[in-house]
Amino acid sequence: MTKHLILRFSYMLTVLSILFLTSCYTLYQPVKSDGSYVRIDHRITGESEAINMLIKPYKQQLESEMNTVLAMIGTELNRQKPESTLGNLVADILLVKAAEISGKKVDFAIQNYGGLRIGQIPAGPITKGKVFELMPFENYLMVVEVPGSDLVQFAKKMIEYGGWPVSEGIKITGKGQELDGLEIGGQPIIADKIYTVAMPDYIADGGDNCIYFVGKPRINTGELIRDVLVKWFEDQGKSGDIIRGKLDGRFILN
Amino acid sequence: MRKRSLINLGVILSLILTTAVYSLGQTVQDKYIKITILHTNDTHSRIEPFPMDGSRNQGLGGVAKRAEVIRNIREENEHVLLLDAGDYFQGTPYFNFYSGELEIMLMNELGYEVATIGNHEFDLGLDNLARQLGKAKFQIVNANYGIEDTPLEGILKPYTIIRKGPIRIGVFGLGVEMRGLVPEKFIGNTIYNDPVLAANETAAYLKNEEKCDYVICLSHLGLEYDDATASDLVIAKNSQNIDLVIGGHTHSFLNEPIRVMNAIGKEVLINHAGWGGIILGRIDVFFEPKTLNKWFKSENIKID
Repeated sequence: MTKHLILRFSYMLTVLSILFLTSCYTLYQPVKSDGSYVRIDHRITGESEAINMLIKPYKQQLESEMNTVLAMIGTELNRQKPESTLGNLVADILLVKAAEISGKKVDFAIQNYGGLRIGQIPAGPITKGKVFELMPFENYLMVVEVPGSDLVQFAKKMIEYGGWPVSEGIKITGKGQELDGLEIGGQPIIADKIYTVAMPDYIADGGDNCIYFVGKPRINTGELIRDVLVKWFEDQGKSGDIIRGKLDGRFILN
Repeated sequence: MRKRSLINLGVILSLILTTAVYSLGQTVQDKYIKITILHTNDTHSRIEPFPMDGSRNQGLGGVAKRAEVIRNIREENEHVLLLDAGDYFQGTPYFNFYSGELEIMLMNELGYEVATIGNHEFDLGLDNLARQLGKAKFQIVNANYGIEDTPLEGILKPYTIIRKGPIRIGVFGLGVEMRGLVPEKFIGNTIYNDPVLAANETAAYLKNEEKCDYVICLSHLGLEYDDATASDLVIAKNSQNIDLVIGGHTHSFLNEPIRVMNAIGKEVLINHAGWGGIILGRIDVFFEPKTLNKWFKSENIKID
């Protein structure tokens, strides 16, 4: 009888042990999830001092650099379509600098509208920080050789986009969505002639659906467009020239 | 004698049962374990709040405030996991001047535990990326880039496993196709592999081999596209072992996490947190032990 009882007891113990062991080696499963968002705004009054201390030396060095005045702007520059004072100026700078750095005769320059990140530069001193705001991305200045036939397609694309910043040396006229006139260097475009065009690498690599330049012979100037702009403004400042925008009907949409 | 044995048996039995029920009951009381997952994406070098220049986001964000929010949440919750879904680089002069160093130092200070890489992490090339990520005190994961012949070898891991209390959490990363987004010279020898395949392979490994209780996909693919391009929704719908997708790239602000059914009819959560550090995403996940669930199937325990 006692033996029977011991058997029963050990049976119970075994069951309990199994129960105990399985509950120790446990896999967990998610049964419920809630989502929420914390907006980081004025209602959050506290700031981490440790973080601010970490940022401080970087911020101070950056600010002194960014507050450097490069040159004087005579009249406010604006970014508009199809043609604008700011767009014309940037494209003209790219033309001059691309020719200077590559040592080639460059026919004209283009700058994608979306690559200009601010709408205006006020009259007065222009700082390095402002040029960074205008061109925050790391775009390189390229010189690409393009047949006239591809430039016709590209001009149509620019008309579809409502006009893009272009430099001196090209004149585009559109009527509605149609290309009405395209002159390069004061002459009507020739389909099988190869033209030399300065542009950001973003466009040369097919950005904004500009497939016309992909695979075409090219020179990378190795210069960031932002650095090129900073250098140009700096030079104007040194020579005391006041910068004024101009509109000359290089891109007309009727 | 026989009667006495029966009494003895009864005493022993009731003793054992009481102990068993009591100890199990105890576990039932606090059987839910809460993991709080905090996440950001596309912070884009927004170290300071957006400038007060009349723009839409003026005054929002800022790492010092985010740090304070995270500190408070950590004080109130035992198990907090902090993640980032990529593109912490590029967008302010801090990146142009310091090449991403400050972004990484701040993520260290905030106590990020896992991050993936976005396309903008490549903006100053692979050498710079490897140099900056080398300073990170957090894990950096991606499972669909082939990096054997790049400086990222040894720095970027396909996945990592994080333990929070008794819970094992597997976190793996996915990256976007960079051709067209990133200049060729910056992509270098990085190979883009199919994210859906990589995701299912890695998630299955984490669930079945590594016995993870929860699998998080940290993605920089983007939330959703009009075409068949791999996105967080595509990943979630075609998955079997992913519990949560924390995403980025499309700068999406959601009103609540998206819940979709995966390939075997199980729910997968997808969440994004806008961009620029304007918001901090938060997912609270409640876990219960699987074995206990078999013994005590309780449907109406209120969770607060």
